[in-house]
Amino acid sequence: MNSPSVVVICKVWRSELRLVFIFLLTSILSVAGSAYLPITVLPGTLISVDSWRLEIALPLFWLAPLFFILVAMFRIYNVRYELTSRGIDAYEWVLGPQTVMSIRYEDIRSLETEQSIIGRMLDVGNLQIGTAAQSSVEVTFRGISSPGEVLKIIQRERDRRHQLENQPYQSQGRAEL
Amino acid sequence: MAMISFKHLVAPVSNSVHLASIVFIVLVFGVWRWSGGEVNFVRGTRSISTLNSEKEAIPKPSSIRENSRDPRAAPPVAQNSGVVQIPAEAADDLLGSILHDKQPTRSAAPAKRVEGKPRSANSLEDIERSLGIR
Repeated sequence: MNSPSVVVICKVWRSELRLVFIFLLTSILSVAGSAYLPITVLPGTLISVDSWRLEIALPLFWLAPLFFILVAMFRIYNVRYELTSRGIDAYEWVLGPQTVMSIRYEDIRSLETEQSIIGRMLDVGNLQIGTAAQSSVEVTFRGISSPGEVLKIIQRERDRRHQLENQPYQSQGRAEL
Repeated sequence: MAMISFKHLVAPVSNSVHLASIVFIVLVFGVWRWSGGEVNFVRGTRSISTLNSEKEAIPKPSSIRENSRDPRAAPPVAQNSGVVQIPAEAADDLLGSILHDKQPTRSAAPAKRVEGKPRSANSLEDIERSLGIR
């Protein structure tokens, strides 16, 4: 069986820990607030077909945790990083006007990881990839799991490609000698 | 590859990111329910508010039990419950005292038959007569 030619690296939930914490906090406040102020639970008709009606009761406090979890989900599913046999592809705005940044392994010049203290504890962080074309960082893998491991994989692949590129010249030089 | 395959079915569970997303969606739904959110598919003019008031109006089982007589309490003994009271002086002649008490009492008068039209043997005739056919 052939190994898959594309490795997908997803952004993990651990990278959005702050939003998850706010979500849990607002969830507790929503339950307590709705119990304390039942007037904030709004009943209403959602759909009415003939004599049948779909009625819904909407707790207003519940909109707060919903907002924060939707923001977190948007941030997670809005990016997609792929390691292909050719290079690195970074898809951003998957849920909107998409931008794709593609870098060949041979063009990679710098690789850096960026992790905070909490990120090191949770093994989550950013991986910055730079090329010779730009002085600054060209692509950043944000909030990926084990950025150090991903860095080593890309580095190994880049070195292997460089060796393959230099091999014909090395063999030619030996022949001249 | 088939559209319905085991690989596709386990795909959301195999990825930890998707699994966490499912857990969070379940949490959001749970918070919505605990906060008082509900969906009702109703017919007619009743709304959620009236349904809630009706729910409150229905007596709870605990209150029913409070209002009703305690079923564990012994029921009061009725006066004529079929228990034969035997006087102490007649304890020796038990059979005699029972027979004495259970002697048939003659009724005052047999019930008089209601005078009127004689009832026909066939009920169909009665129905026809009441309908004015005959």
